[in-house]
Amino acid sequence: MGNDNQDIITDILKQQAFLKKRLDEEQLQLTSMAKRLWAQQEADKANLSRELHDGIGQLLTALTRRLSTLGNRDPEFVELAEIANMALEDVRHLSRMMSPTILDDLGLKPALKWLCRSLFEDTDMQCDCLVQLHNDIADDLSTLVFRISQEVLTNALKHSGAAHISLNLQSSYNSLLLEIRDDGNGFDYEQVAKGVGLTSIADRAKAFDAKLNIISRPGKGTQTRVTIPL
Amino acid sequence: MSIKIIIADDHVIMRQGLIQMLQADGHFTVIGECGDGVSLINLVLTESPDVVLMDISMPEMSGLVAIDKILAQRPMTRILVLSMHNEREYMEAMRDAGAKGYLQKETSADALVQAIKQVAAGKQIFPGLESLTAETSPATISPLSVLTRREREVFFLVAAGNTSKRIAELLTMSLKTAENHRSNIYKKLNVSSSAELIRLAGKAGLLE
Ligand SMILES: Nc1ncnc2c1ncn2[C@@H]1O[C@H](COP(=O)(O)OP(=O)(O)OP(=O)(O)O)[C@@H](O)[C@H]1O
Ligand SMILES: [Mg+2]
Repeated sequence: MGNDNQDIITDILKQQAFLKKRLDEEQLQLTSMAKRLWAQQEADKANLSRELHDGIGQLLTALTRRLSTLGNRDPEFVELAEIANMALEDVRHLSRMMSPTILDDLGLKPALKWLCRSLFEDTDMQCDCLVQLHNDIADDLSTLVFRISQEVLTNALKHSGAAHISLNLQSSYNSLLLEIRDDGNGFDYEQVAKGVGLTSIADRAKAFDAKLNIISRPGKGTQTRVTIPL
Repeated sequence: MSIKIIIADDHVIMRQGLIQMLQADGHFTVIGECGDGVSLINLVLTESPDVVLMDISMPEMSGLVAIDKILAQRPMTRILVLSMHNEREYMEAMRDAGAKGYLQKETSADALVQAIKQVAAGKQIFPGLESLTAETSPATISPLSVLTRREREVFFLVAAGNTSKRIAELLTMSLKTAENHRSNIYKKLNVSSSAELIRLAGKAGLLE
């Protein structure tokens, strides 16, 4: 009798272990599919960004040059050249934000510095960027950190009304810690209608086993903390 | 005494344009050209150029890594980076990596030729990272290239003699923001008064 019970329990445990394994496998598959989709998305964005930059960008460069040359004769053209140049910079900015070549060219630290500077330089907000990395960061993790930072900082820019924003990235031997704070309006994370931004931050963090912590209260600013295992 | 140059850029047309330009000037000999970072390292080590003219985004090996490797093996190499990127982070990264200069591809032929000669003579050229003095930057490089779009608008309004208060009104921004922009512009252009700014604008041909 005791033996029978024993057998049943063993059976159930076996089944449980089996189910758990299946679940884990499926989770893993989903995660790897999400990662593949993002990689594809990044590649698509890179193509579009290049077309924007090389296509419209080149035309505007040519236009700016012609107008500047004309400006030597007629000062009115100096102003037109300046407008054409602004259009050129808009296209460049759009193209860079879509696909940050600086990340491939120079690495994570300069890319984050650039992000903080270029998002806030024409605003009243001040953004400080402190990056201390002691080890090389794999490409997919660099992209992860960059894209999460981009969403969080864009939110701070659009919604927070903050005076100060800070981005802090530190690495230790086994993890990366990203912390972004603003001293703005804050919001209620549970209540707020989540858009693409907050959703994609949570999804991406999960896919990389990262711990995401968003602390925000109306009137008290927002703090986003992401701990990524290395 | 002609200056020996190696050119690295993955766009053949860009390379040909540079070669033509350098030959037309008469002071340069292009002793090698290539389209990727790995070939560049080999060329530099075998050909011993006076100046390397190179792009950053290249196949096989990024420009930044190539600079590292070149300088590790031949520390005296004078490298002038020619790039389509105008963000200052690029310039800083290249300077920190040990390049001697950084110019945008849009730079005029005259300014580029002048810059190569200066780099060959041991000078550093990073327009915007240091103060825009006549010695370190060819006069043909516009001071506008170091300013943001908003700063440029403010720049022109200051050059036209407007007060910060008037500028704030014209651009619908707070007085504090207008003053911030103004002081950033002064800092970047290394001037301390509107009179100096107007003089600089005049020298660069930005006033009618
Ligand atoms: N730093 C912040 N300060 C104040 N409110 C914020 C902040 N970040 C997010 N929010 C609030 O959370 C909401 C959801 O943000 P989320 O990024 O998901 O969407 P969104 O920014 O509105 O649109 P998008 O899909 O373009 O990101 C925002 O609409 C805003 O109300
Ligand atoms: Mg958002």
